[in-house]
Amino acid sequence: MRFFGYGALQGLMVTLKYMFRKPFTTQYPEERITTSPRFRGNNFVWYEERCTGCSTCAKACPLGIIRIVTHPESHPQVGSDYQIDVFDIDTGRCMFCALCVEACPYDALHMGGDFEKSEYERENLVISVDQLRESPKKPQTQFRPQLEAIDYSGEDELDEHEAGRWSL
Amino acid sequence: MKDDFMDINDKSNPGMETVLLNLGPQHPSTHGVFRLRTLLDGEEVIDVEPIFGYLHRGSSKLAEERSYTQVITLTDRLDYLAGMSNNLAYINALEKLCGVEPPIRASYLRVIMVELMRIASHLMGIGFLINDLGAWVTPLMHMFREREKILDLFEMVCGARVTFSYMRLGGVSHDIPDQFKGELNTFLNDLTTKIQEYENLIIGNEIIISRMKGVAKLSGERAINSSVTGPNLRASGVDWDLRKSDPYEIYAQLEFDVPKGENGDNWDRMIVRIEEMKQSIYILRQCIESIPTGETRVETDFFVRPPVGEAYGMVEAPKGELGFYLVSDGTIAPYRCGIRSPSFINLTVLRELCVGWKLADIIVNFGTLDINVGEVDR
Amino acid sequence: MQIEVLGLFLSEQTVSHVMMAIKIFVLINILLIITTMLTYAERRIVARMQNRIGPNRVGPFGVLQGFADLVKLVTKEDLIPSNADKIIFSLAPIMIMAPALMMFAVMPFSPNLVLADLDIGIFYVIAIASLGSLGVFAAGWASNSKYSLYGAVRGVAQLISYEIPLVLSVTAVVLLAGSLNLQDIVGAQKLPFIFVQPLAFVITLFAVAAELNRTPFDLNEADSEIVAGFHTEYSGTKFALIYGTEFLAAFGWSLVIALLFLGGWNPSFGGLFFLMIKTGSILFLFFWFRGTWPRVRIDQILAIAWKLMFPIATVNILITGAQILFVQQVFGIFPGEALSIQALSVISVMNIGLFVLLLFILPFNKGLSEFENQMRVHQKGIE
Repeated sequence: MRFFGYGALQGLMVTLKYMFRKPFTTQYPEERITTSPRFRGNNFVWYEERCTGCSTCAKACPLGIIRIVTHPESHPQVGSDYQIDVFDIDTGRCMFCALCVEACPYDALHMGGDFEKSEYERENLVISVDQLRESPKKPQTQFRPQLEAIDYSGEDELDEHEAGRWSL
Repeated sequence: MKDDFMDINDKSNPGMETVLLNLGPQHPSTHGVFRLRTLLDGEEVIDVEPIFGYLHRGSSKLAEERSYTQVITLTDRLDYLAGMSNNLAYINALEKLCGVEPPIRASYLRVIMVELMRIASHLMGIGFLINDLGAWVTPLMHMFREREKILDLFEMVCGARVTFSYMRLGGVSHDIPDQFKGELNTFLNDLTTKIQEYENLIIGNEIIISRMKGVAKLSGERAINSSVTGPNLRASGVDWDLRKSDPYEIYAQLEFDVPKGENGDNWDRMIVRIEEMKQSIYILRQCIESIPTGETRVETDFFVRPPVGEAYGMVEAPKGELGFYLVSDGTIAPYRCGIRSPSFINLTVLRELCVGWKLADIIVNFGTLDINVGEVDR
Repeated sequence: MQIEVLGLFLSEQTVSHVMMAIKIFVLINILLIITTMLTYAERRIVARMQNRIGPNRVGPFGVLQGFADLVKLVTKEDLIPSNADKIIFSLAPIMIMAPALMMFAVMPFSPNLVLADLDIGIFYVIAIASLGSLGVFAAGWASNSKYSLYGAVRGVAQLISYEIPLVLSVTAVVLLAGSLNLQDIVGAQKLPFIFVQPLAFVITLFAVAAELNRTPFDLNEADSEIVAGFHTEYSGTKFALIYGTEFLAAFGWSLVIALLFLGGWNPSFGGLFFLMIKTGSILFLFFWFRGTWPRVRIDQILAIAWKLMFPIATVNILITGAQILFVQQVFGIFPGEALSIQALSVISVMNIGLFVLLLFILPFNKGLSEFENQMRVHQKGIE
């Protein structure tokens, strides 16, 4: 039996029911939502021993923000012919599409999972080769089926033999 | 009705003094940067002129300088609330150009993603519509909670929540992880109870019925003449859905209804969207049950060079018919990438809907058409 | 003791004036503190209805949020638009706030705690509160902006239209109690008047919501069309006064409704405490409406006032008068004497029956039932 005002009262009942439920929000600095292993974060994981300086990642980037400068000198560990002088990634303009990660033929560049990387100056957002060398080696499983096969979830660091599809 | 904008200094009707009100680019509820010049007589609307272009980023021009795989990242940002559909439309066109067929499992995955995207886009559209009516974000918060769960599902698959770049030529970029099916089932069971709650909150409310029923009617004939597509066309009584009339992917093997309205007023446009959400749930359940195993991507070159020619690919996006027109001249970048966006064409009937109704109805009509300014301006 | 000490130096009359000034000062301070707490309470309650947490950072459980907002508003720059009428622009917030404060002069908070026991209590409240509409129009006109003008014109139309159903439905209560004095009305409620006059309660509730510019009649401040209505151009302290008036007036009118319909400070052993609980429940009703319903369009608002509420309130007065005469015959009560509880319960049974009957015969959009059939058809496969 519907009367004048029945629909409005139904709406009121729904809202009253929600008053006594637990809220859906998380309080940010104290609690954090865990991200999935494939999350495309704000930093990169780079294994220098696997990288040959081929610049496929720089060609694949839609924005052209990777800058690589090498000089010919034989690499003692890997057996390639180039030493890398400059490897700049401008994360201020990056859109984290992971096309560079998909393109790398040697599994040297991976996505990182960190999203709390703010800086006070815009110039500090450019990642240089020293920062890439020192960053913690916890890659995400984006485009890396070998990492998903071992159920890697980002707790301990991986070295350069475990992170790639073939060993060095 | 005059064709051009009415002259404000028109003294032919001495009893009427008109006010030119500018619902400007900065406004709390025009869904983006959008300007409406309105001519009002007291509260009644005489003329409405939309002025857009504040969000133009030159997608068609930028696409001429990027390779075919890099253009996928540009297409995410057209209708930024429904990225998977944009990707699919572009890949459709590219696959017609190259003559590549995706494997069956990839087709199923694509349909799952696009239907989830449809639910998310309609949730947001209806939520903001009720917000414009004045319900002070309560239904919006409830619908956003469901949308958050959908975006979490997307993050599980492809790593991003808004700009996916998920589809590739010849399939999809990743396979779904193992826990995806379980989470999707949980989510769908939850969503059916939540849709019932939304209906209790919204439908049947006398205030909403009196504001939306019978207001701003769009007849079926006028809708066809103006090339309106999507839920707006189906609410006016025309039975036209690209998934049924021109099936792509595996829609020919799926069983679903196409909801249709009768009068073409604001009420019907809202109800058609709610019904489409239910039909999407039905499609998703069928897909999960019968998804086959297999590979998810055909091997292609990274810098693909299609043969010289042109192709037009279209999908039924949540807002209407989205089409991409690609012309190739044999190099790694397209020669021309034209975009037929549904919101831009749907916007042309805004004047006819608003004339004769009150100032408060302009915003509501604009909300029921479900316009996304990123798609209007490209 | 202090009064005797003062009495040595000053005359009788000055002492009573000084005591009155101290009482007014204390009352205004308490009211303004309650206003800031109400802004916090509304945000918290509406947030819980939307399944989220409200403000909870400033102070324990976010209790000091109102004061933080006040400090922020007071330290802002005071902008006056060019070509605005400077004097009226600056006077308008005061014209809005003063009637809301003056309304509290006659409210009895307990049987012996009232600032000014006027014999025309409720009449004074309605008369003073209607001065607020002048302030609204002054604010909108002096801002020199089209948005403000629209808000002002709509505001004045709405405020003056809804005073009539308000007065008429309060008249029914006055008929039952036999006096305009607020203490007498509370004393005459042997049975709370919400049961005796349910129709008058509902009409008063919605008329007060329209007087306060609250949902579902808040078209004045509809931030989806006219950005903020008559107070678009206000910022800083002036805006704090206008914003605070909204909650102050809400508190005042909820107090009036609690006194008129819910039994006031009955039972008298804990008078003030029970009155605050009743006021809080009416305020919760207003917050609940705000969190759930959308707003009604301006022509529909005026149609509701003139076509729906005005005839029903008039007929209500006639029926109440007839019922009082009937009951006085049956129970042998003399005119001028208060009605006994049996008399009141007889009237309440008749009125509740009429109210339920009215709900079922009022027309509403019946086009819903065929749509419901349509909806049930499409449920296949999604359970």
